[in-house]
Amino acid sequence: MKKIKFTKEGLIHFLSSNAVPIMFIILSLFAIPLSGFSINYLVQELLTRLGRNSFLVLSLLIPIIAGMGLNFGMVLGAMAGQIGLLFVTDWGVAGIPGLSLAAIIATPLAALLGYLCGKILNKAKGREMVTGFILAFLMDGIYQLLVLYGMGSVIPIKSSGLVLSRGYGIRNAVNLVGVRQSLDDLIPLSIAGLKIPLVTFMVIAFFCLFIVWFRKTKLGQDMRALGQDMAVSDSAGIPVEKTRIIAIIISTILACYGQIIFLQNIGTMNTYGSHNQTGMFSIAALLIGGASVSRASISNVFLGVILFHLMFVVSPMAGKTLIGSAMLGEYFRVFISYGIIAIALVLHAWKRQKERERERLSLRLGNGTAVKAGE
Amino acid sequence: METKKRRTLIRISLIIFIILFSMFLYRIGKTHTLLLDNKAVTLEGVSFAALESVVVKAGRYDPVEIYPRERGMLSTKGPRQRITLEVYNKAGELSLSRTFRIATKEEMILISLPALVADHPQAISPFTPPGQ
Repeated sequence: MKKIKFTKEGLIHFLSSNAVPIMFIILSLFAIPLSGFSINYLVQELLTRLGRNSFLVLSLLIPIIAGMGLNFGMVLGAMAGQIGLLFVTDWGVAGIPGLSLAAIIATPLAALLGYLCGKILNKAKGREMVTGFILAFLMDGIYQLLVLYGMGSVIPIKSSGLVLSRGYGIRNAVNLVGVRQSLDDLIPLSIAGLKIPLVTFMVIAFFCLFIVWFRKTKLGQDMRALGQDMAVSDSAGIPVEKTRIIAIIISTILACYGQIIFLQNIGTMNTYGSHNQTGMFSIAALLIGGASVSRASISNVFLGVILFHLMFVVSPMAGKTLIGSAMLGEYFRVFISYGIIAIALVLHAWKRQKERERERLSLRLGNGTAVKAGE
Repeated sequence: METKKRRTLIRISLIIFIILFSMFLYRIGKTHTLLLDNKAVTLEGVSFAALESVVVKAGRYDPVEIYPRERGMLSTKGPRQRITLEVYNKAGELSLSRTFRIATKEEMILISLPALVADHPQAISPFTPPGQ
């Protein structure tokens, strides 16, 4: 176990490393009493949102291990998941068989999209995040073309609840009544009046164990080596490009399953918008949990989901109490949440720059000593 | 060469397994709409009078109560269905259950409740909505 040193430097280091979660905890401590919500209500909301979002956020960990930053390309996996759900809704397959079938349909699609994404990201080494972000926009266009014009005309969709009245294209909002909360309610559990989505939590726990195990495998170790230094890993014989592609494929497939879990909990799908929100919210939650572009852990995921969604729940009511308008509260939540994310990214860039400067300085000082010693 | 052949064989088997498993999932997860008809009906020359009141239950779904000349609806999942009927007639109360199978391709099934209570083989028939 690591020994914590209670020194001034140690405290400063702790505060600067955990600045974002600390800011969010302080904000939440102010907002919770203002919102007037009971503890029971807040805990119930957080349990529901933990089950809904954790899998998606966890899917971001593997590319971070591989040094590819935050996978904005996870939106591609979310799109694949949505296509799987559209098909099972059209075929009228409900419950757990419906969810499993959606996952089976979506997996090859997510793998293909992940492979393409990985290939493109290999061409843009060092700029993976912005490339992934723009790639998600490109794929969103293709997805919209497929769903808005392809489905119902080229791809047979017969359900009148799905197809627009003109005969092709999918409606903006799709009712996922067949699969709604089928995973959450598979084993109904209620403790002290709190409804607990037990099976969803079991799936998430299994996924956490998978990540812990994966990090210890040969592939996981290769990814960690890549995350530390790509050039050294290449010299050591690690297939850099192949490993990076595998990391993105795994992340995209897991994001696809995460989106299916997310949508079964919500029960309604925003056909043209759900996937975009997913990417942004998951990345925001992970950063708020104290993760950075190059370092993230399972604890960051859960802390981030709790803090980010706590703000979601309390801020409209806190805003209403404070200013008299729930809309203004929501505006401040968006402003502060995304402002803090921007600060997190800037802090990360600043820290990296400082580290590089320090390394350069130590190298120069080392050389200086060597020159003096040679004299 | 031998390893490559074995790998290909394993991959093909895996794909076949996934396809078969998907078909199994489709079969057990397919939803069907049961249209429950409580009207007087004549089947093969035998007349069945409408039931005074009947409560129909299927699986975990909410029960439906149907009066004479009414039609109720239930959504069920899977090929094998077991419905429970609680019939309230002048003669008294009667509780019975019926098990039947639905073909996967059938979206809607019309069930004549008076005929089903009498265990007539034609009580259950596929239903196609008008205009389809």
